[in-house]
Amino acid sequence: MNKTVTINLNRTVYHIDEAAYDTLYNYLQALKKHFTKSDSSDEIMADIEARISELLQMKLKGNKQVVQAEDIDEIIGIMGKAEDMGDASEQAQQADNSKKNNDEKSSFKTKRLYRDTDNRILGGVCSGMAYYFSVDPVIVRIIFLLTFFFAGPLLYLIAWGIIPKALSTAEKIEMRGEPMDINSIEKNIKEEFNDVKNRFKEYKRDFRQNRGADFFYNIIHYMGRAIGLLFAFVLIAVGIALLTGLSISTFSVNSIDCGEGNICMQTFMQHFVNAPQDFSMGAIGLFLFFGIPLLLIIWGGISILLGIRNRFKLIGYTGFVLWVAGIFLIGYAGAKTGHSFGEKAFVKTDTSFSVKGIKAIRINTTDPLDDCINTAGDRINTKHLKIADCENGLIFYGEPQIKVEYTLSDTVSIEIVKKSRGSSKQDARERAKNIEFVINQQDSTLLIDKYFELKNIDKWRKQEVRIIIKVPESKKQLLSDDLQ
Amino acid sequence: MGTDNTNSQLKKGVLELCILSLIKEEEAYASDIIDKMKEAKLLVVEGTLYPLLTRLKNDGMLSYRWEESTQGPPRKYYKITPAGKKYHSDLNQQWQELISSVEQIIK
Repeated sequence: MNKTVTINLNRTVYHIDEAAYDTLYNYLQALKKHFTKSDSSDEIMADIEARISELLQMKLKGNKQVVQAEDIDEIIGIMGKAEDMGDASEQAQQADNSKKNNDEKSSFKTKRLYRDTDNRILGGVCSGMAYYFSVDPVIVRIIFLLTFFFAGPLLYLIAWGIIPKALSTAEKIEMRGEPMDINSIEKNIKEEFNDVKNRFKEYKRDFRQNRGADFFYNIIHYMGRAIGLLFAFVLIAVGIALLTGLSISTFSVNSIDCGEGNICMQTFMQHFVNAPQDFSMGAIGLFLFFGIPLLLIIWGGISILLGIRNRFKLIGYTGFVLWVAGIFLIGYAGAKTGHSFGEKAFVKTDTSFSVKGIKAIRINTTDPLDDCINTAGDRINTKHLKIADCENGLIFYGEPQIKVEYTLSDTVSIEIVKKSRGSSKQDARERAKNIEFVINQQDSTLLIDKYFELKNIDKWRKQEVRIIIKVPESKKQLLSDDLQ
Repeated sequence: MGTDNTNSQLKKGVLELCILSLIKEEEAYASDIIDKMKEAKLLVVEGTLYPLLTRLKNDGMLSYRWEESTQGPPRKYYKITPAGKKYHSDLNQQWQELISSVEQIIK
């Protein structure tokens, strides 16, 4: 079963099969085009159509109701194709011949520069140029953005003003450089028609809108677009800035500018976590956690400027997965590190000194570490953790907590408690033992070390030293001022 | 090269002569002219005729009137004009001269 089209030729009605109709239509269009160059083309076409009508009449004798494709083919054979026909004017004949020669030599298509308002981001300048140079519009936009800061938006505005919009079908075809013939025009018209159909539906919905508002609507519309683009730029700039900062702080090998009071992530992390791979994982995790959102922001900005739809389909999913992976990495590194701080232990020593020999008890004002600490390149100085970056390497040290107790006995005793954390009781105890801290008796003075130090540059596990100086009440004056 | 060109030019000139001759004999429809051409085995697609007929009419060599026909809608019925007769005899003379010259050469 096929569809039928009803036509009339020379005022006679014919039913013609749909496919046959297309053939006939194209044929007549070709003839029309062939004869447009001559005068009285209408008359010639009328004569030809009349003749075709006669021929069809002869074919439809009997019970046959519908003209078929074979009939049309026959008729075209009888009437002849456009090229085979003569012409009503001399010029057209020569034009025909020269056209044949040209077709053999080259297929010359004129291409003109228009603005493509159907596929535009702002004004369609880049889109139109893309057609003219036969490149992908995205590439043109990238180049435009790169040169944007040199050429400036002024050039774009000038181009916007000068290059005409491609409004009509013919202009659009010229813009694309398609051969101007029946088929491409027809294709274009069909596309346009669908476009118009859809737009008309929308228009009907919005019909109550005031005419005067159109003008303001346009202004706001364009301003909005421009602001939107500006916003995209800002997104990209901010994103890149933050991302650079994040990368540097996460991945740089040498710590930067850790002065007093500044926490230097690098150094801290290296000695905080248990193993290098934990550190790396944690670092990567952090980078992903903060970096992925930044990357997405940058990508959002770029995709707006390049006019990419579906911007977050693939990238969004990958980004999300990586971001979650980052969280897991952080969690894992954190858990492993936390584990190594899980247990705590301490080591206690008690030393007694006879009162007779002691004339003073004080904290040593100097310490072998002083040289290093004062000339250190970088330092971390917090209540619980002090690190100094000296020539031989990193020194971990701290100040002991000192408590004084007055007793009724007649001896001076000092209790030293070294504390540490570790992944097991034994591990914690080992680390506690590793803390270097002594109290010396020099002549008649008890010197308390100013700092305790972690031997072997042990990992930091919240090592602490607490000393309790037990002194008889009556001998209070033995203590230096700062101890009382 | 221009063999197609020459051929169609030649044919065109010849066709004018033929058309005018036939219509000079008696008034005719376009389809009659085609039929007679086919009888004489002069190969031409029908479409060639209409522009020629129209041009001859525009140049005043032919005139037509609408004739009702039994086969359907009215058709153009062509007739030669005095100017057309003159043009025809010119063409005819040229043709004869051409034939004799060519015959002489190819013998």
